[in-house]
Amino acid sequence: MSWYLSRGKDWDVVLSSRVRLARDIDGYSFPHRMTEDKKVEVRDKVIQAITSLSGNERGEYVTLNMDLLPEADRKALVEKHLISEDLAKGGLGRSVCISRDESVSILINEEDHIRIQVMDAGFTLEKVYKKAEEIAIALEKSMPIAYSDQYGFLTACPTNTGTGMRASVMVHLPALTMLGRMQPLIEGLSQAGFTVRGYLGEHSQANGNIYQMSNQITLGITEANILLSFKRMVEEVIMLERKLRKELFDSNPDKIRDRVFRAYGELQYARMMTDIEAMKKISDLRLGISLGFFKEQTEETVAKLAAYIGSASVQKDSGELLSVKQQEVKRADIIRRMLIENAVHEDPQEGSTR
Amino acid sequence: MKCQRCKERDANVQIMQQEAGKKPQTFMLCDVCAREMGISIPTFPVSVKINNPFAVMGNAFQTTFGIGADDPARRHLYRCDQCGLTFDEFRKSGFLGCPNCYEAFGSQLDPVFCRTQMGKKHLGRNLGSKIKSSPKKRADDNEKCSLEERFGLDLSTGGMNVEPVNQTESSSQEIFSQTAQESVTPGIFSNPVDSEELEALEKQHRGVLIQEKKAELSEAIENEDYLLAAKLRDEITELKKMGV
Repeated sequence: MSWYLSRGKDWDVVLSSRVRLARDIDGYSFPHRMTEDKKVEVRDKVIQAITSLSGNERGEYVTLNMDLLPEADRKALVEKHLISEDLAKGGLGRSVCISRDESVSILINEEDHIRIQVMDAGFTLEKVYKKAEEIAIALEKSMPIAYSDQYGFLTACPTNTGTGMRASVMVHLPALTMLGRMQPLIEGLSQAGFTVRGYLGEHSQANGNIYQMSNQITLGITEANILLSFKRMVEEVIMLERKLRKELFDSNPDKIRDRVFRAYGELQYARMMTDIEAMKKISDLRLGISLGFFKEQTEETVAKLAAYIGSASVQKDSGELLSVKQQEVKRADIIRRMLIENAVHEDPQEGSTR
Repeated sequence: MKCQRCKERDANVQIMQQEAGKKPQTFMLCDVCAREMGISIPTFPVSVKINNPFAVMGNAFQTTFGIGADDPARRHLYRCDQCGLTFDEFRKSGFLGCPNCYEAFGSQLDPVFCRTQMGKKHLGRNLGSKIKSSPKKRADDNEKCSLEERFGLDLSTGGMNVEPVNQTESSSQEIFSQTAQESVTPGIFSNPVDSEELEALEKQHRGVLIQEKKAELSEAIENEDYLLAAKLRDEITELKKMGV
């Protein structure tokens, strides 16, 4: 079982936390201006450094070269947030090192030579930051990292320079979305130096009321202050979403119950489902679980559903190339099977008071 | 006098450019070229609040039109001497070419940082040092952004914009001015369980890698490169030991 199949602190709103640190190696051009030979050279150096990290005696990291990985596998890794869409485009000299519990992934020769990202379920920013920084410090000791006293860690895009740090959370905001509050919230947050994006990061639309929030500022501020201001912002969003969920429910409990149980019914009995429809229904089920409607279904099951219903994951599960219609049938099958397999039959005790 | 840019029309606009501590430079242009370069020619007198509104013109000259490019002492201002990226290429793509570009384009990047970031000086953890728990560090006075840098020198057009750009700093300053004493918990994850899928992917990947190395091995033998062949053979044995 991987971290994303469990639930963490403030799970009713925050699905996961992530910190990404960008580092580049001195003496080389940035990846977008490198030849394939140079990329391979940098890749081998970085992998060498990662392999010799302390604590890696048992082979903590799995290394995957993008040029050797079939497209379906690369896309499935994107759906699990282990690599970016950019890295998934493939190419020689581009690789990823993933820790065996899938909490750490180190992207090599994406936009920067090295991108360390650490993820965990729930609202656990300090924990993931600390882990990412430990890895960064270890790598800084074993290879010449591009750095200046004036601008800090030097990255391909100046929007990352300084700390090279991007903290982000994946949040489920059904009430804010239903009440039409997302647009003003996104604008307000952007004014305050934060970015809000759809489910799979940049250039994607918000699906299933899931948004990714992150800090914009990386230069002229300490890591601790980035974390602190970002954390305060997310705490405010959590409080607002909980308040609105309660208001939404109190104003018309039957309507919300109807919506949630209809979605549950469709998930249990549908025979074909598109990924967008599945994301919507899963969002409703998730809302119902946080409002304490269910004893037999839990957030863990929903997390599992969300991780395995993407097109690439569905393809991978069946082991063959499927048409869009076949995918829809297969997706509905996977959802039905998971809801039955993971149903809890005794009283789970928790989550029922919300 | 003819315009220094088109060298055809008569020059009727005088541009003065001055950088701090340097002798002012004068360029003569015709009004057509001046407009094309985004230099607005006022039809009535305006008072401009910025001390040195022409400082930005240096960028327009050196990067977009290459004036001053012949002067070797100024060459670094428009082209990185390590990777050859020009500032104009950077403006188009948004990406720098190599770490040295930061030094090469520093004076042109500073105003961008002052408007889009919290300043132009790194305050975070230093290279190789430990995690800091004290976030109190502040920029020294000489590291703070000047008014020119903070307001309205629009590098994207090469022109200038005297309207102050909306500052996000004032609102975020309040949040950032408070001291944080975050206790960082040890980085141990709750349930570090190995992912079976990842393991399957690793095996599959190793299989492909072995196939590829075998192909390279045959090629090396054909080319009678036995040193490389021996190295590849060892690598294949090592990979096979890990299991396929």
